[in-house]
Amino acid sequence: MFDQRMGPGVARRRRVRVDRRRRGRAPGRSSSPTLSEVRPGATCRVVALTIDNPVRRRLLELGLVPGAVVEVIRHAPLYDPLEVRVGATRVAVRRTEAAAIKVADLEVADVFALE
Amino acid sequence: MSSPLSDPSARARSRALIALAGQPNAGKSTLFNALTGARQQIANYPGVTVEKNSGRYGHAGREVEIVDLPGVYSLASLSLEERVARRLLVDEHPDVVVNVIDASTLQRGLSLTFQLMELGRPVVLVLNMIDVARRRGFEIDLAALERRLGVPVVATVGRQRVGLDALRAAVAAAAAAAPAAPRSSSPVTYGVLERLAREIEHRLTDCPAITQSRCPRWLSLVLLEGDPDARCLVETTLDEPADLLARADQARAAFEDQAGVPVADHLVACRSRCAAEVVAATTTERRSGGHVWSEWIDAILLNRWLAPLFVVATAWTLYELSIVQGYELTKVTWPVLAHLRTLVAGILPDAGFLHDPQVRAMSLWLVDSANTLLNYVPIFLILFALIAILEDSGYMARIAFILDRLLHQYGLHGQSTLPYILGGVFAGGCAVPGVMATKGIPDPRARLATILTVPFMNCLAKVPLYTLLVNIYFPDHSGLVLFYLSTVTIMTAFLVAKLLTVSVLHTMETAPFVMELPPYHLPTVVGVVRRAVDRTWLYIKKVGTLVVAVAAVIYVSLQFPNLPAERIADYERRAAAAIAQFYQKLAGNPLAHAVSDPARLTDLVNLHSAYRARTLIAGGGAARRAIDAAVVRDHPALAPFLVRSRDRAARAAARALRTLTATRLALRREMKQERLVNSVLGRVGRGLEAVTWFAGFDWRINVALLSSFAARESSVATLGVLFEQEDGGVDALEVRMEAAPRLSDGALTAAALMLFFALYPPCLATMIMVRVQTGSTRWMLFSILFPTALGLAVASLTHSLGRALSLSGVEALTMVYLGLLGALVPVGLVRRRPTGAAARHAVSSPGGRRAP
Repeated sequence: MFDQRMGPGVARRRRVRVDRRRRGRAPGRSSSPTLSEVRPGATCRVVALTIDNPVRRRLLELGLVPGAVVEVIRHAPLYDPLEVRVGATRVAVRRTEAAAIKVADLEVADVFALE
Repeated sequence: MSSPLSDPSARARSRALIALAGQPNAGKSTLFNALTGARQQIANYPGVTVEKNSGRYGHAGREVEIVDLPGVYSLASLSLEERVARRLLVDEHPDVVVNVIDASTLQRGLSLTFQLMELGRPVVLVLNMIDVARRRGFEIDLAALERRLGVPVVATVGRQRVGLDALRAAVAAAAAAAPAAPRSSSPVTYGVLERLAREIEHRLTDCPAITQSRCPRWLSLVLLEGDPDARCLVETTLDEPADLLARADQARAAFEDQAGVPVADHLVACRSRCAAEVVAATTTERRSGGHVWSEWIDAILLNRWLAPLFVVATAWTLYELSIVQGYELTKVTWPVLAHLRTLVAGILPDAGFLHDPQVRAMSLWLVDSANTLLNYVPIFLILFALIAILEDSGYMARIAFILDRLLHQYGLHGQSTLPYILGGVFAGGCAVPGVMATKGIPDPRARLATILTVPFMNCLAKVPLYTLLVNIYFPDHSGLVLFYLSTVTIMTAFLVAKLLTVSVLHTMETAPFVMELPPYHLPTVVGVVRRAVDRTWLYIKKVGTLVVAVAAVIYVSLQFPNLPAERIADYERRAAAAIAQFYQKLAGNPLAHAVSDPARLTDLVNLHSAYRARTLIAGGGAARRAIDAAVVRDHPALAPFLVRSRDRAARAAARALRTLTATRLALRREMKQERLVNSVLGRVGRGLEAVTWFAGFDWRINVALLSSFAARESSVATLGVLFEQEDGGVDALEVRMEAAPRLSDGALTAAALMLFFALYPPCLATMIMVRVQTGSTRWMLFSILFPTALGLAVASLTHSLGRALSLSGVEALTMVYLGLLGALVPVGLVRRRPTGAAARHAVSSPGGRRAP
């Protein structure tokens, strides 16, 4: 499915992966990465939401449910909101909210689930 | 709630009760208005400040009562709106629940639909704004959706009243077929949880006290969720609830142990999965290549370095096409409006020599007020059409995406961009559609901050005053001063938004920034034109009626109390003297017999005004000759007084008439001004001088500012009245203001005045819109008082400091500008949250290019 995206700047996000080198991360946080740390171009799976209602509910309703496959498409020019793809919809999410979404690397089964 | 809870089977209500439920911005209210027309009543839900709109309509001989529920994303009872909506749905037993969904976002809307179906009342699904969905390339198979969900589905376009009959019929059919006891028809199954839910459901089904009024399926699910309201309900309804509740708690704990997620999350996930399945089976997306195209376009338009350029270019194009070119267009449309005024003037009773009939004066005042507004219609049509193109194409959402970071820094929201552009970020716009457009901002706090700051934008009506004052006082620095004015407003808006967010709005609820970025789409001509016309019409209707009403009030307060009798007598004596002089000059002139009757003289004087007004509009050349010919044809006896000729007698007569009309104008002007000084508004203006003295405003400016509250346009018009004017006058106001005794400090006062005007409270129409959008009179009052205080403070500071330091007007403006910039930049650089900063560090590391 990535083949269809051939616009400029796509080349560097070929592979499905999560950036695990989260430098400057505050100590004491759990080891699982969050959506805000995922590189543009990478795809990951939602593990859990570490935020309370009503934000939690709203994210769930958007399809950011545990198990959902999410692709980070790009950062906004001023870095803050990020554009992610959940299912067929593209959604802009602020970094503060993305930081509350714990994600994990994709398993092989998830890659098939994507299409 | 008033309905007989104890006896729900007594739903032998005289009329059917319909609840209109849906997510925010699904178009519920539009549909509600279309269904009920004027038969609505607005009240509050008992005990809370959430507005309850209910209305009625008749269908097939049966009266239907319809309640517009607050827009909610779910029935989780987390927010006030959700609790209100749920209470009505559960306790009032509506015969039918009409679920309105924005057809373009069907999948997201369905999760609420499933919850409504679980409640067990008959549901009619409405796919609203189906036209937009079709334009975006979604083709929804309604029959398949009906089959899949097992509820009737109706497609509507609320704004155009399309599909209303089908909806009424579907509602009537659903109401007739409604089962006595609630029964869930939801297609959602909950996987592992399903077995537990069924078990509790069976237990509940054995309790008639429950099944009579509540749907056991729904109750079992909310009990498993651990909903406190549900527990409370079971405790009060059942004789021995402990056993059941214990079982529910146990089941919840068992599930959460096994699955590792809260039951509530699991329910949402299952519903969202089911929604995706339903959409996949019923919706096809035409031109699936659209996504690929969108990717390409986004790669360029959202490129980190190019994006700001495109945003600026878009804003510039918007400004250039709508304001600059639209203004050119008004030069074509203005003669039409001027002609309209002449037409009205012709119908009204004729003007007297000194006093005009009240009907005439007031009607012309109202026509003038309406004309100033209508004059902007071409500009608005272009502006709204361009904005519709931006919205329909999908680029507006991208602008919000690009600018959110910047706007969020000041407590605003990416989606504040549209209201700001409509309000006139640079110059030219209108706060009314601006405030209206805040409806789409999903974050309540940012939305309120936007509503309260949009009026700071430079609306079109502020521009004439700027232009006037800049031309008089800053002819050498006009570019710089206009630049200051157009940026001072946005800077102030940002600072005020930030100030409000950290102070009065601090405790307000905020929402996550979550916004869909739809694929790009080529807007259709019909869609764009319709939206532009709709919005312009709304502007004319909402603003037009109000402005005319307030113009009437201002007219009255400018006219009364009338002058004392002896002053009037004095003016009349002077008028009589001028007339006597006129006749004296005409003595021996063969043309004199034409005006021997004093009534004919008044006709001549009025004809003279009309003739001058018409020749002014016409310009010169052939048009003027045509007017001359018409006068000669229609008024052969009076024409020699007006039309230029070589005849000696005619020239002497024309000269005498010119002197007479000049004296008449001077007398009327003097009288008008004296009346104004004496009037209610004049007195208030003078009373305020004590306060506005610090800003250098005299009473005339105060009066102009007061009247501009009705409509900003009227500031220049009122200044025109105050600085000596007359209908037939040819001098531009600039010339008159210069000729008049100078404002005390000239440029410095002008600078203070422009700053005050830039920050001045919203006009009346905007104020009403603020009331509508916030639903609160207190916020409306705040939106008046706060900017007034702020504007007065800034203006006084500018004027007083400027005087103390003997600054020129431009220097004072520069000082204010730098001061604002000095406040804005530090606020903008403050890091919002340390966690955000940490995350930034991590991801912007060069690891992004590391080989896999």
